[in-house]
Amino acid sequence: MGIITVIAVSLGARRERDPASGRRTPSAPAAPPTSAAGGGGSSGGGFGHFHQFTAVVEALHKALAGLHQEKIKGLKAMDPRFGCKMSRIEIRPLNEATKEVLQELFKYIQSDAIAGTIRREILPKIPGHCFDLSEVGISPKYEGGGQSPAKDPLLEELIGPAATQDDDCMVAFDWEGVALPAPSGDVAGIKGWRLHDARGDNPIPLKSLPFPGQKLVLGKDGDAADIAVDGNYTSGAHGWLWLDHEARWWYQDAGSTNGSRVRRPGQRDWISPGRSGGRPAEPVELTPGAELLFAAELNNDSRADYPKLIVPGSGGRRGTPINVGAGAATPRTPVASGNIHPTGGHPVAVIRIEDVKGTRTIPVGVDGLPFKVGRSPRHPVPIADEHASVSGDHLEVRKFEEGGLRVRVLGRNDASLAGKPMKKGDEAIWRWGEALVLVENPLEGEPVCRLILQRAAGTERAR
Amino acid sequence: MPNDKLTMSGEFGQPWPGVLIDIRDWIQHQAALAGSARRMEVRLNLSRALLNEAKARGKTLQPQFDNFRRKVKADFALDIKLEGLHDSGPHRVEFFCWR
Repeated sequence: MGIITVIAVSLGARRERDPASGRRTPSAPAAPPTSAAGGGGSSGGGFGHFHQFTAVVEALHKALAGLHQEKIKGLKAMDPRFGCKMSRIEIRPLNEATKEVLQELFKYIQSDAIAGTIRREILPKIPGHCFDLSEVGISPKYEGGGQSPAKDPLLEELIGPAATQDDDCMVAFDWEGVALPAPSGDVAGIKGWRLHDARGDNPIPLKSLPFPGQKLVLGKDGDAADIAVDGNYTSGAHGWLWLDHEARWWYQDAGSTNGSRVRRPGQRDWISPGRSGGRPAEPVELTPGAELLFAAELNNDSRADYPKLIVPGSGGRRGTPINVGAGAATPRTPVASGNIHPTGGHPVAVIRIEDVKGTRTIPVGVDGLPFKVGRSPRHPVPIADEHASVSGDHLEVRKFEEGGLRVRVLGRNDASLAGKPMKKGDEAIWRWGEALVLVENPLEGEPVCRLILQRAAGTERAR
Repeated sequence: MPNDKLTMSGEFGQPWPGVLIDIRDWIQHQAALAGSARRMEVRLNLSRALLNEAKARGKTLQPQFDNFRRKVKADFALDIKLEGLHDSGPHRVEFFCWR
């Protein structure tokens, strides 16, 4: 269990009357005086056209800066390798107006997009590169809305830091301390990397080096992507890029519509980590001098149609030989992966996921076990963020056993298997055809996430 | 009866922060009785008089309370809700479980 730190901040939300209807409506949060987005602009907001939520970003900025100042800075002063890995950020409104603003926000914008905005817009402004938000879930918590604890000094002392009269929300961070890898001379970040896309030939717009294992989203979606790639055929979240503990960069096509290709220096052919039929492809190492094309075909040099990321060459490292034709060589222990691809080997079983995104399947082969299922974007088929009670790593699918798969519950909010409750840490055999529900008692209004174990086609037992 | 809800209540007047240990033990006992309850929850209504008395003895409130909530949540997988404060008398604790 992580450490919970609560910071009180102001969102500046207020209520106004709609002149037409006379009804009270939540107004756009007032831009704080220091906001770069004064006047409702979007430069500091990062939610694209949802610029009215700029104040939420500013409030999260203040809260993170407060957490840094109160806790992290001192710990980092004692150990420069100290890092703060965040698992959850909860925004708790203290009045009805703030509650309505948050309800609006979370109606339109998903947790991932907000996390992406924080990584792009806020973290570069906080010194020390100490926050890992790669697996964070961000959600509102409306319990107690409208009852400011600031009014009661005893209550205030019990549940958190003082909220001033201006503060209208509490931001609760659930985090744990982690050790960052020792600084390495080989890790030069992505300095010198170039992106050729519809906007021209530009350096990679990344202001700080990610944590090892932290996946950066490359794609067209300005809100969800950490590195925006402007291409006619680029998917919203086209692929993931990450650094491992050995200072190597990896790329994985996220199951994009048009796939990706990688060319390594000294190789005549390209390897194609996609098109993979909507499923994430195998990760591929981006060695110095590699080129990554956001399309599975090589048709012309149009930057808009075929955006390209170019990794600078290095005298010290050469491209690694790869098995072209037999598919990409399986990378050696890419760190981003509790990332074992569950499709490894011949599929024996299929896990059908029924969640708010619809129905999807994970083929399961013996070689791909164990693997985890949850909301973490590290997983090949992450559970949608609307399932707020599902943990980043909620379920571990361990091994095949007589009658099905052995599974263990990792999530705090338990699970139920064939209608029987399973607590965190419980193990059981998940039998063919049984339904496993990822949360035992979902929040009110939270959709149900159900997994059903089936035999893969062609492996059914003869009757 | 899938929605069968059980409630137990207790009152605790011991000095802060030792009272939190007593409350934790009581919750542990209730959780054991609840067995395979689908969901459990504890609601606290703390005594302002006892908290002020603890402060007068130089005790702090927040770190102990935070640790208590975190530990109970981790050990018994249940949520602690601070419902509010009342002026005098013992701390009141209610335990809910849904079978």
